[in-house]
Amino acid sequence: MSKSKSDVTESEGKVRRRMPDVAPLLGFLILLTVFFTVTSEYFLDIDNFKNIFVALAVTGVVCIPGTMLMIAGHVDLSVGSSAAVSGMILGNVVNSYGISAGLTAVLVYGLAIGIINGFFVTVIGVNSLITTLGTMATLYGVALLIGNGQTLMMKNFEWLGTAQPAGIPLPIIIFFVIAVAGIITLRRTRFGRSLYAIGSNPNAARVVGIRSNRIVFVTFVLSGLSSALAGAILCSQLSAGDPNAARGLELEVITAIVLGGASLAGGRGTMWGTIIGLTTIGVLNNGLILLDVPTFWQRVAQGLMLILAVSFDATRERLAAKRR
Amino acid sequence: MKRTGSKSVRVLAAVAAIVSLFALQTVPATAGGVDFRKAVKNSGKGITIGLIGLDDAIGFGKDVHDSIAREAKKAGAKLIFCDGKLKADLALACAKTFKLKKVKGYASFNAVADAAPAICKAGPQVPVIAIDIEQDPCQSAFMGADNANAGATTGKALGNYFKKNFNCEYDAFISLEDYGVGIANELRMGGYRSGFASVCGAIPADKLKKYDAGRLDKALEVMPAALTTLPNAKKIIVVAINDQGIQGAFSAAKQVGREKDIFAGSQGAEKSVWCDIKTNPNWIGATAYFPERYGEIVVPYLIDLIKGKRVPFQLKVKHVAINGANIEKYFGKISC
Repeated sequence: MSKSKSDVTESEGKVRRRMPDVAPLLGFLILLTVFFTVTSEYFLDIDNFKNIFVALAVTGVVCIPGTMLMIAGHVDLSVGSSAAVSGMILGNVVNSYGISAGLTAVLVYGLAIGIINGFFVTVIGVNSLITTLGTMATLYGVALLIGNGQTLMMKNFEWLGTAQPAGIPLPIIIFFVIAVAGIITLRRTRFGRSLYAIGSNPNAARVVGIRSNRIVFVTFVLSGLSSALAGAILCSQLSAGDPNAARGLELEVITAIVLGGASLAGGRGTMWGTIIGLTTIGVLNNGLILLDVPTFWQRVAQGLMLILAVSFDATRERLAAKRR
Repeated sequence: MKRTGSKSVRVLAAVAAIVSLFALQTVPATAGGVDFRKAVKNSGKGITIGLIGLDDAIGFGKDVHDSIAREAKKAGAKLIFCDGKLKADLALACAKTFKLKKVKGYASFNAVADAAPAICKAGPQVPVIAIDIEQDPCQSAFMGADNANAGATTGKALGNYFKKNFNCEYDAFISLEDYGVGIANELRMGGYRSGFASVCGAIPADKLKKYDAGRLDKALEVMPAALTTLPNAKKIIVVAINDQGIQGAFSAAKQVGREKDIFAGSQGAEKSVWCDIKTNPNWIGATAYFPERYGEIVVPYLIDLIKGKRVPFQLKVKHVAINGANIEKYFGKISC
């Protein structure tokens, strides 16, 4: 990459100027938290917060490379099916060959699925939406094939999903580590800055010497690995591989990322935004359950929240553009 | 979590289930099970119970939820509902919420039986009634459908119809199955075959056609092709894992002008098909599951368990074969 220092500084400046983008969502999250604290005696409880973040961890792990992909103008719809296959592989291998073999198999699988998606998008040149739509359908079939449509019981592998070193659930720690790595990668590395450049203008990025295909390929591999890890965590939490587990995960991931301010067209988004978006969804889901809100109304509220948050953000953008 | 029903009770229940299969030979309309009990007013006063729902977006799950809510209210118990939405991870989160809210007992309609150990562990250590799907190791009682008997009930009704009208002669036996639901599929669909065989003898292999098409959309997709392979057949038996499969089968048959050629049996007898059953003479029977009355078993028995009373482990519904002639007896006046 032959990007000049001034370009890099400008990109960093843009990133800094984007920071306030998450402020409205953060404000909304604080309001939600206050509301649920006042209305439910169970909300402000350490165990409840553990529940919220454990539930978010699986989606969160996938959201981190998902944000990178979206900033680069791509999307990975296969993450849900991929996580399901990962769980089924883990269930099979752990039961037959032990935990180490199971984790190795999942790692290899995650790499493979990332390479396949990355290959079709960057080498063959198929649109990422179409590629991953195809792999999503294929992998769902594979998940059903592995267990012949049945779930697979798994023994002695609860630790990944349920262990609590120092009282903090392991899935939360894993998510935290990956999120920090994601924040650093996006804000402090050439790789992260290149993602913004690719998403903003792929041709210009190529002209200035950014190896777009290589960077997108690597990001797909990271996405494959994260979905495999998410499947392993879920499988461990449930002590079972379920071919239907994580169905719809891709939509949850996209919702969190978009809610966090990323643009579906690429070039815009932050890791902090995604984390706050994800937390907002988690808090809302949890709070509505604690308040015994009927399930149909929960769905209405979740949809409305997404529309409101995105509309608010769009309005703020428009006002900012007028001021400029 | 200890099971309240003793091992001997469960063994007896298993024996009773087997016996009831044979009893179908002489008692075709209903299968063994417990009677519905209306909740006693104020019997649950001061008690908080939980329900992990199947999925409120599914008619069956919503009916079960509504009936439990109705009976809990009648009993004066506070019900905390949490929708599992067919996903084990959500059911797991529900169990954690129940622990937080200190429920005294809960009913679980978690759809993924293999995840039940993790869910049981995460939830409060209180009495649990499993609904339709085993929730080992914490289930104190199992309430719900007796899938094999349910299949056999309508299978037998179909056999009787064919014996009476066609001397047990038929061209094909089409089975619209759903392999995704595992053992329940085998029990229900196998039940049809054993029930039918008990009247008309075993189904020859060349007449039995199985398709993974239990859902409405899949049945609609598969049935035209299936009927094409039976061009001159006028006596085709079609059974499906639920009502929607048969709805799809009749819609598909109508598309190709063959709706008079099929004679159907289904399971569920859900409200959405009551008019079809009442008005379509070729819809021979549908096994009623009475989801709208599940609460009349779950709530009173869960309150009994919370109060430390002994409850049988098996709390299965008494299934009934519904047809055009008896439907209003069970569901009241139906306007179509």
